[in-house]
Amino acid sequence: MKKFNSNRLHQIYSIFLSIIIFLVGILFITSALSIYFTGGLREQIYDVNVVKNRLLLMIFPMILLIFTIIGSSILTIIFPNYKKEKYKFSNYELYKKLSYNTKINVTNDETNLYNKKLKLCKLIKSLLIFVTTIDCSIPGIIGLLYVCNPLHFPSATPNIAIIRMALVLTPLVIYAFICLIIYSILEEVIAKKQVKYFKKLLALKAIQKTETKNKKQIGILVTRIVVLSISIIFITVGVINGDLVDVLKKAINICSECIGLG
Amino acid sequence: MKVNKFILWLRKIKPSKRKIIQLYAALLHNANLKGFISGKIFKGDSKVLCAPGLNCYSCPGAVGACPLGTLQNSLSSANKRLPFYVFGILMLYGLILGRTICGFLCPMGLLQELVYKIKTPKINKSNITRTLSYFKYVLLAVLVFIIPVIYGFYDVVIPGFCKYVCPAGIVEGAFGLLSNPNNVDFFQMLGGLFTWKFFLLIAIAVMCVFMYRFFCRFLCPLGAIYGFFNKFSFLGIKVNNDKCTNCGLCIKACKMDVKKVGDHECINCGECISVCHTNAITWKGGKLFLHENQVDVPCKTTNINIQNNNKVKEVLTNELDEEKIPEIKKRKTAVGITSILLYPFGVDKFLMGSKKGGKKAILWTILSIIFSPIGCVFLTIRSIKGIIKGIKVLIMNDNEFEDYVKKVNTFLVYEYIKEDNKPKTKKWFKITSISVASSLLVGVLIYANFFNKDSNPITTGNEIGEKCLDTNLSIYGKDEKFTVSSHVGKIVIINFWATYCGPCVLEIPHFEDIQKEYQDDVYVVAIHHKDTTEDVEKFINKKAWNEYSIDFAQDEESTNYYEALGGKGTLPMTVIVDQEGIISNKYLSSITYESLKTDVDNLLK
Repeated sequence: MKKFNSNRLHQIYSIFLSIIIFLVGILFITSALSIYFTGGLREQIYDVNVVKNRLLLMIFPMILLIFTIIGSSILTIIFPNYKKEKYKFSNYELYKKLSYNTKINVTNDETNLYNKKLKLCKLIKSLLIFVTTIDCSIPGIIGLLYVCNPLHFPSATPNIAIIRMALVLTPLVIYAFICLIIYSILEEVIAKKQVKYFKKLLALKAIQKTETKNKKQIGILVTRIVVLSISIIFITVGVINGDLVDVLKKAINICSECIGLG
Repeated sequence: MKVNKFILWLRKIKPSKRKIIQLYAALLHNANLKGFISGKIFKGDSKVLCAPGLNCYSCPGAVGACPLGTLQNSLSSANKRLPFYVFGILMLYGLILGRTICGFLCPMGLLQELVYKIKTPKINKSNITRTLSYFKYVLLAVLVFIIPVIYGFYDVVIPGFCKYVCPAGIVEGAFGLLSNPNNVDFFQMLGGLFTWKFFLLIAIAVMCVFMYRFFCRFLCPLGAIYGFFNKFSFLGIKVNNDKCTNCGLCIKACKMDVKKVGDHECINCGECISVCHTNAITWKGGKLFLHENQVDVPCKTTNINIQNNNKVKEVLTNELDEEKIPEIKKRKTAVGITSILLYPFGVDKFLMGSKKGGKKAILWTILSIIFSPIGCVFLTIRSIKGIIKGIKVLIMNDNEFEDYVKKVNTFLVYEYIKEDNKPKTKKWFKITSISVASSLLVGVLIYANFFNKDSNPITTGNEIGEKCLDTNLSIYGKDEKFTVSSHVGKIVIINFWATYCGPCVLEIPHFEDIQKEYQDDVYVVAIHHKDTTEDVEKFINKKAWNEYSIDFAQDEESTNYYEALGGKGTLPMTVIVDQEGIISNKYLSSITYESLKTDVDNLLK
């Protein structure tokens, strides 16, 4: 008889649970959107009765969600999940791990060849960093120029101005992050090569372990003293300036729109 | 060997010390339990202090100010006064605790970790998530610094992050207030902004189920700020480079996007400490609160060459297996207590592995309960038997105990996993810290719930349909006083505003437009809230509102007209009083020109 596979059961159940979570999430969002877009008076879109009715409509999926979550716990008790979390080291991590505190000894032509290849990889990586920096700097500078220009933020209509800002900045941010993601992918490709050459050098016994360089604690100590002094001075100046009263008054009299009630 | 699944599961879900501290911190941040019942925001003096974690100060339970909200509010008035206090306190928190705050003290972190416990397929960290983790710095720069500062120059307070992104404002503030039946009026505030933030909240909550601390990793600017201090903070975790073999197990075990232990992404949760085979990872300042041997354990693998990485694992695994041998004293206590507590119900053996005897006993117990009172007698006898049995186990010597456990065949012997690598705290430190923490919590709970009395709101003259409560407030730039009774025959629009409330400042021109349009039928007064943070008259003159035809009055501590008219701690608020002095409408949020016009037109019909 085939042995019962509890991991497969967990897998199927967790996918089922995920689908329910997604569906309930979508249901909540669509419900809020439908209240907003079909709401009555502009100032009373979210009438308490309307919200209550919508919540009542969502009781069944909510109960289903709760029971599914409880079910997953019961399932774990009855059929423990022995599956261990998998995490594969990326080539970048692997290379870092391998090359930690090491030195290459060039002894013959073969080691020289791999050493050169490793150096080439390093050079390509440096170039890649340079290109990525420029690629990310351009949208960064454009975005900063836009954001730091007060003319783009008329005082009378901040919400509209900020929506406009989001529309301008989002493509720039997406572009910058796409560049960074491409960089990380290419870095991984280069690291794969580096691991390959490093392993060759390891096989050739051309890698020597070096002494660990202890970081000077003095730098950290100085930083701590400086930051501590600055923070104490700032707090003292702030207290003398009357910042405490400001903080208190703004914390007890809430601007409703500032917390998203608007 | 029979291993009981239920006990294993119970042990698996047993809250760790970190979870207990997180729960404690969440309670300490929100100690005003009374606020959840009354639905009112806490107004005690403790709100001068910024709490370390992300906890919205609009939450009815919050007893401290949110550091991020305070920072944005202070930056909004940076053109008048630099926010030294907030900068100072953030630096101090960062220096002392670093991102330990995220790992141990932040209530939002706790919520995310609880949601992540739902058993679904998880999205692991990768190079892409590492890249995306820098997005929070974009939010920090744009929404926390640039937007508030720019609008600060226009004297309009826009806390960009709180207003457009922060889920804490919705979870704690909005839901905390809206879920209370006393705050039904608050529903009229909700509109497009709430819809957007609700959408964002649901999206973040769903993502938190699949990704560990989704909000912390990609969106939280407070974590980004504390991250700057993480490397040199007093508390946190550190790596001893002499012992580190760079095996990468710590990075593998960590769910955050760290590149190395203790970097700006590390929340100092300490989970990597127990993973490290060479004890290279320790708590900072461990000499103070850990046993000496836990701070400086001699390294066992320093002589192993880097080429033999697999061998390192083998050697360490063997060492660990040897260390897994459980301490007999602990096992004895576990078996003894299990017997005392569970023997009466017949589940002790079942839970300890012997299913046969256990099932039989459960059956007997159920039958006895059904046929009470025989069941009660049965349970009493078994309870006494259980106590005797438990005490017997506890006083057994080691050899007798070994024989006993072999007979019972309990997993408590074989499956006892010793928490070998977890650092042991010094006893005196443990006692002192627990005493201080408990005293602090009790003190804050007493202060927030008993010593901070709410003002007694007036219950008449502030509801729609009631005659509006009168007052006598001085008007800026005039020697007159504002009273409702002196304007009977006109529609009186009373608006409550404050210089530090962005939407309040933005809506004032609408009132002026209405006043101009209906100058014979309408009287508008904009009353500044009793709490002022700057010279209001100077602000009015700066904005050229002194040329407006509407009057600006000042609320007073003694009168507290805002609360008398039903204000619940949120601004702006507008009350419309008809020609006979009866309240016809009340707005607890911003108001548009069109709405005002509709109200006035309806009253004039």
